[in-house]
Amino acid sequence: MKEQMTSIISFLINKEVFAFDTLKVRNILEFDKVTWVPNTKDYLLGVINLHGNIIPIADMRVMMGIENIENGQDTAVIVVSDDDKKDSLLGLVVDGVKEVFDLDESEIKESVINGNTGLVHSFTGSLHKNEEFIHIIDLTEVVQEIEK
Amino acid sequence: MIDKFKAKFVEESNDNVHDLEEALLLLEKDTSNSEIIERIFRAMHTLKGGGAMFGFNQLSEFTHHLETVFDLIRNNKLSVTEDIISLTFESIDHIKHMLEVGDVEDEEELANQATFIQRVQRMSNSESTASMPAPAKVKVPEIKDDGSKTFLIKIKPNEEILKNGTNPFYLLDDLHAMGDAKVIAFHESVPALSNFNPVNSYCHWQVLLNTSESINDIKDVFIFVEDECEISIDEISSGNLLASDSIISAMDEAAKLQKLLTKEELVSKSSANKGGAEKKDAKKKVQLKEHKISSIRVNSTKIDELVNLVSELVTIQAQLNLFAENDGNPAVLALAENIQKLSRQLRDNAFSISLIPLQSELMRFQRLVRDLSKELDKDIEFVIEGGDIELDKNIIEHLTDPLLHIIRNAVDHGIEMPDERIKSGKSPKGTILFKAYYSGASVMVELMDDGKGIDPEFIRNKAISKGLIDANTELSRKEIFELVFLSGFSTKEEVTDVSGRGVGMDVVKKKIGEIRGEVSLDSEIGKGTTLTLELPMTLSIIDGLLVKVNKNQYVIPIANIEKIFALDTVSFGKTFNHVVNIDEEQYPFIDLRETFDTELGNKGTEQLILVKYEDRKVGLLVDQVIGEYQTVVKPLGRFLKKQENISGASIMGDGTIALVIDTNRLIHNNAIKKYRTKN
Repeated sequence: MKEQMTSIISFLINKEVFAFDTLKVRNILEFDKVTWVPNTKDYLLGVINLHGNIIPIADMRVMMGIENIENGQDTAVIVVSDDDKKDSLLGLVVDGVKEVFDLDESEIKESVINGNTGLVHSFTGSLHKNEEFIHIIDLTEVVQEIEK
Repeated sequence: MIDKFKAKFVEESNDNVHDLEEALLLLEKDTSNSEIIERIFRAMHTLKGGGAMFGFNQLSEFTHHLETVFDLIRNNKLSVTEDIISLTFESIDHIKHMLEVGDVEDEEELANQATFIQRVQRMSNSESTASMPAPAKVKVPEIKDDGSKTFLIKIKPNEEILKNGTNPFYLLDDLHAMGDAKVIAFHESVPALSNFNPVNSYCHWQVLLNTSESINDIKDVFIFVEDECEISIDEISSGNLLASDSIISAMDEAAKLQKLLTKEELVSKSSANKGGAEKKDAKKKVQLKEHKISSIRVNSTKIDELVNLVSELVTIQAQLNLFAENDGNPAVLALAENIQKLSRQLRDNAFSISLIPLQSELMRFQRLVRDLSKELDKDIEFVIEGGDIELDKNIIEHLTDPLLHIIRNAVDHGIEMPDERIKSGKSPKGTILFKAYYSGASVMVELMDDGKGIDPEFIRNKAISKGLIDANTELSRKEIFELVFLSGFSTKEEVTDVSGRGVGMDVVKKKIGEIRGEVSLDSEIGKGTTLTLELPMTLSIIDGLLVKVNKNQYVIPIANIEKIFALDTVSFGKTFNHVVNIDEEQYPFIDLRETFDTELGNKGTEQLILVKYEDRKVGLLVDQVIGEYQTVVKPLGRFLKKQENISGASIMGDGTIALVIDTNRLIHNNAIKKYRTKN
């Protein structure tokens, strides 16, 4: 079979490794001050100013039902855009960004997730690398959940 | 790639269709104006040509038939009738449809189209034979008028033209291909052999061309050499002058003497030839070289982007000012000041680019009034004043629906039937006046009809019967008219086709409110009704009051603010049901800390901001008022649409964000119930 290369960016949430498709990631920022917007869902932390654009920030950890959230030096915001439109930019807070790497699509296996992942149900697949399982999150579903 | 061209074609065609509609409306008022007919013909011709080029073959074919009708009209072989105009209007709608869907294969659609074409064809066939009220000025000229025309074309290439690989002879060949042509070559400027440079061109030509193509088609021949040639094209006469001996001999003479033929000479010869009958308008001298582009078409997202970037620049410039002041270095201060000046100019300029005149939207309303009044057998004129007033394009976009509704109402319910109007001593023709003008930082739009007006008593009774007000309520005249904007109020009982599709004036108010505008209504029985819209000039910049609630900063639009009071917490201790007593008056209030679900901030001092809400005043309780602030409002985006209290965000000088409160929504959402019962 012909090789289909793809690239993912992996990150940590509560010591587990997850990943997004690199093509959908626009920016990675330090987690800094967020302007809170009243009357919104609890995982929406507020908005930030990114180069003059107002971007909403959602906490992936809250979305995935993690209880003891600690913000440290590694806490980061991954700015993603699911459909490349300007108003679809969205910042997602994670415990830390690990690495970007290329892989062959044939390496991706069906995800077997044990335990609760909160509002995030849909995964594109998982792979095994360096003794770790990396679960690739389906961004479209995350975006739809937030837009609901 | 082809899709891109197609999209461009559709965009341009929509402009053409727009132009067509406008011209047609004018033609209706002045059916014999040849300039307008020419304009219509041209627009159709462009549509036809473009359609064929970009694969809209059905459109092209359809327009061809329509064009035929107007060609006949143009040549005085058919006179403009009501039927033709109505059918053309219908055809325009059909063209719009075809532009949208492209070529269709659906049989039903094709059949529809075929019948449509037949109707158009009938128009050009039957009328030309049956009732042709031959205009007086048409005499039968000696030269056979077969719809062709004769042009005098002068081509003078630059000396360097050959260097680009252009062969002028091909141009002549092209002209020959268009019809009958006679060419005179002028070679007096060819130098002696010693000075002759074989890569230079020294000749120029004059061509007398008889063709049935239009002047634009002739221009197209020169489209690639416009910059390298001096070209002039003059229409000399209709019919074929090349068939005339005197003209031919004049040309031979000119060729021998190497003397340029002039237009006047030929015109006089040709009219002499025709027995001085028809003096055609030959003034349409087309100078290809002096074509200047006065406007360009830009994608609107690019303008949005520009405005965005400029807003960003203004924000950073404010930061720079702050820094320069703290730094105290005079050189830096001077620089900062210069940049401030520049960025201010740049900002004004960028915002003015995003303004478009109202006129562009009004066309369709003119059309709407025309169609509706025909449908209802009413005679209504739509008059526009101040169509050149400019508004932010986003505002104009939001204005369409409310205006549509208001105008429909005026046509359907406002203006009476002609006989009714005569009975009440008015002219049978009704008028809807659209008037726009500047008033301070806002634009006022008035829609005035001279119809039967609305009886305030009727509104009152209706509101009582609908349970909107209590039967004993005392209301001023103004307050009564305000009732119309309440939801659940619609004055016409039955649903008609034209208006009253279940959307009432409350929707109009809501829509106008979305663009931070206001609506009011006034009416006099028997005289008519006036709706007044007050609109902001631009959406993206507002004057706001910066306030603090808990740790966050918010902006409240100053336009909504009535008064600010500083109060101590104690006075609220006694409040009951969120009503506060200030200066002997009772105001309901909303504690923003409570609605925003935050804990109380600094206790001790609080400030109450009194804002307008419909006809009343409501207080908003905040921790602290910081000051006035002019700010650029940015949208929060689609992920935060669900909450309604915040309408946007604004980036402060230091890069932090202040949220802009939508006071109308906020009050509506939080206090409306309590408030109603109180009043």
